[in-house]
Amino acid sequence: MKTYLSYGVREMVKRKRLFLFIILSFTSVMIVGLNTGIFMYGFLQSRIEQAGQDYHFMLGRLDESDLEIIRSVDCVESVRGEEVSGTVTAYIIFKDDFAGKFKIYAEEVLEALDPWERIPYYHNEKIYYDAAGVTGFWFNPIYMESYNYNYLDISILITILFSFAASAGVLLCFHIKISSTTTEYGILSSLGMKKRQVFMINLLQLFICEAISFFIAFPISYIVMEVSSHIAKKNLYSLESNLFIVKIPYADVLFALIFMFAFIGFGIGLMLKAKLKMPINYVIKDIKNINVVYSGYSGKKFEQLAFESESEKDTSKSSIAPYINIYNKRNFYGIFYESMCRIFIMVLPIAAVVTSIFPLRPMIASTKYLNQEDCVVIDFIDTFNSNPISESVKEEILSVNGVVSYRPEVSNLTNETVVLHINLDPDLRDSALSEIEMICDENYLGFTNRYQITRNIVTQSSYYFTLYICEGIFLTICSGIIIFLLNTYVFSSRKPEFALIRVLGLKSDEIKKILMRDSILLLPAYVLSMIIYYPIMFKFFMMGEFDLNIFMYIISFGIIQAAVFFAVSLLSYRYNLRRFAKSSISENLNKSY
Amino acid sequence: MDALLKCENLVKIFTQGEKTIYAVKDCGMTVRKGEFAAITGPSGSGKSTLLNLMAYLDTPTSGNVFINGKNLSELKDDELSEFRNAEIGFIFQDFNLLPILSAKENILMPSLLSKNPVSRSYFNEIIELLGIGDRLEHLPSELSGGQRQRVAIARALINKPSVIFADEPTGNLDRENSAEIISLMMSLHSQGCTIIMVTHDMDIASKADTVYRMTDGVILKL
Repeated sequence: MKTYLSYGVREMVKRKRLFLFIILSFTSVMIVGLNTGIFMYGFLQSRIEQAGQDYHFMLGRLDESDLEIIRSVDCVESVRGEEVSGTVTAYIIFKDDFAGKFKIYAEEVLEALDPWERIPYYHNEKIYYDAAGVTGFWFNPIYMESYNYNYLDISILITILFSFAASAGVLLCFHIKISSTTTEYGILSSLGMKKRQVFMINLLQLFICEAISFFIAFPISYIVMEVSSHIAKKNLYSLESNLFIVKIPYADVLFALIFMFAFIGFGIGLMLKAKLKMPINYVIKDIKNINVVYSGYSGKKFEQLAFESESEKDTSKSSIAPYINIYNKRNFYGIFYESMCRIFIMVLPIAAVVTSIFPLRPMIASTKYLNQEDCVVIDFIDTFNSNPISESVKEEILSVNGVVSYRPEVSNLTNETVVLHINLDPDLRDSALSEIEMICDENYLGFTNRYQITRNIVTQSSYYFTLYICEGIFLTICSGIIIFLLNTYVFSSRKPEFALIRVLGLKSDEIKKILMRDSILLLPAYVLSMIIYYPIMFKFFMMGEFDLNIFMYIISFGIIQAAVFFAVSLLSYRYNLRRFAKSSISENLNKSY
Repeated sequence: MDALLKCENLVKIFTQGEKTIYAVKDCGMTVRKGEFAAITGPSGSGKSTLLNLMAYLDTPTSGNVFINGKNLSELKDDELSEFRNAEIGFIFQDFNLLPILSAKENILMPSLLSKNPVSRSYFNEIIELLGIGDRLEHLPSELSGGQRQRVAIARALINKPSVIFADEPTGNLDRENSAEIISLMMSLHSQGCTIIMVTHDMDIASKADTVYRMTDGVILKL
């Protein structure tokens, strides 16, 4: 066992460039996965635990003694009673803000009360879920309430989804590695190595790659999260406790690592099984599946151009084009794998940003005027006037020093009540409120300050946007690195081929044409990524209460990302072509990893 | 006879860390048109490096290579490509066929890159000479070693080059196939083809017009 495991380590040292490529890809993918996980974790925790920080309320004919009984229950932190038309609403805050126990605590409170006072129990968690637009997409809050699911269950589900996508990306990198070492496996098999041992070598290499990648990705993710949050908090008016704070979900990370190892290991097993099922002689020769697609393209144009009698050769045009056509059409599997790699790379970061932004977005949109610190909600009620608040009054309110903006909302069908959400400058809040009260008095309008209800759905959209933009930039950089490495690797693996064609007379400039055509061929992969991504995004857009800004943000992000990837591709080709030109043809002919 | 190829003071130095290796030391040789020159020597003596330098597949540290009177070091990259395509044929020890192309397409590849495409009659002539007419539609992976080397020779001949460089063309073949390939090369030589072959087989070298021996980067005419 020791012998073949040490062989695996030696192979990693010998093929350090190839393994560096896998490790860097793994690291980048892991960073993307980790950051997404952290984002989702923060989101879920905020959605569930914030509800716990806020009040739960009970409606009923409760008197002061009943409130005292509630107050005396162990799990209760505080109780506040409020009477409206003889019905007392008890606002309760539990000591423990873990959502999974809310129902249990509520049962304890109801048990303490007299039977006839065991009135319906509510808590505002559900309101938040509705406002967050979570219902019906990520998970069903009613189920969650009924079965006491907690964030761990859901975040693990999301972790599985992202780990699956990330694993698929890494698996494709491993496919390149396994394909380039098939001959060696054949030789090892001929020397007596069992298939299981070949698998164990690869598993060991996977373990080492994952471990190294983790130790690089984990601190980077942590630092990026800290930096992003720090930048995002700079212009924050809201209480920090009202935001979802990004922090690393250790259990999820551990789970993701195990899941990725198992999934990639399983994939490697399948790949090896497919590679090693042929007779050893074939494995050594690494006879690929070219035969399968060979008959599909006969390359007649190639022959026509090569023979003088059959065509008038136009020497001004690229002579390499027929070869490129043949190569691409017969190398179907290679292009398929490469395209898959790119689809994953393209979709993963954008999916990360989109999935983390979408459930939150409606909440941000619906609560941006309801900030306790800078907003007041006023009900204007006038039973004698069908339109209780005129445009002139609105203008008057808007002109008050300290009023930043407002959003009127007709609260019922008869237009008897208009709720005005007024966004106030926190520094001028008191004076502005006095002025608004005076305007209400002058215009005989009712004035009800009810901003208290919004305490825990307070968010500051700029915080999230800054966070998303920081994240988006970072994830794009990570993906850019993977694309650069992938292009470099693909170019390197084709160096002997390019060198050989150079021996036969290919001009170095024409390699650019080959690469250009390759890039065009990979365009469908990018388009497919967009096709996967945009309709989903649009579906979200239609579901939620989005404004145009968020839609434009996502579109812009997609376009910027595509532009960055294109630029990275050009850069990588330029870099590789320069390196290729610097080295001699004979050196490139013998190039291998 | 006119000198077809002339090397002057060719030097190739490789550096490995702090170590400097003189792969080719001050080599000079002249090959006439229609000559069959063999370069022999032990492994690692610099034979293949010298051949690569002569075909300009590698750039010399110093010195010049002239083919048909043209100094290759003075040619620009594109001119060098065109020159290589038209004037040089190369046969490798490990065949170096493009795996994605059929035997026929491999043979025609230099013609595709050339400004002067090959005639079908010349193509058929080569195929007949090499005896690979029935394997043209096969991929390299479906051919035997001997067949692959014949395809490689056909590819080297397709543009009617001035000189053929062969780097141990029989190195990966069995005795029977080696003999056939050498007899083919001799037949090409008898038709006026200039051949410069690297080999460590003295039997093959003995068939050449001129034999050079290379030891530790230094060439000696035998």
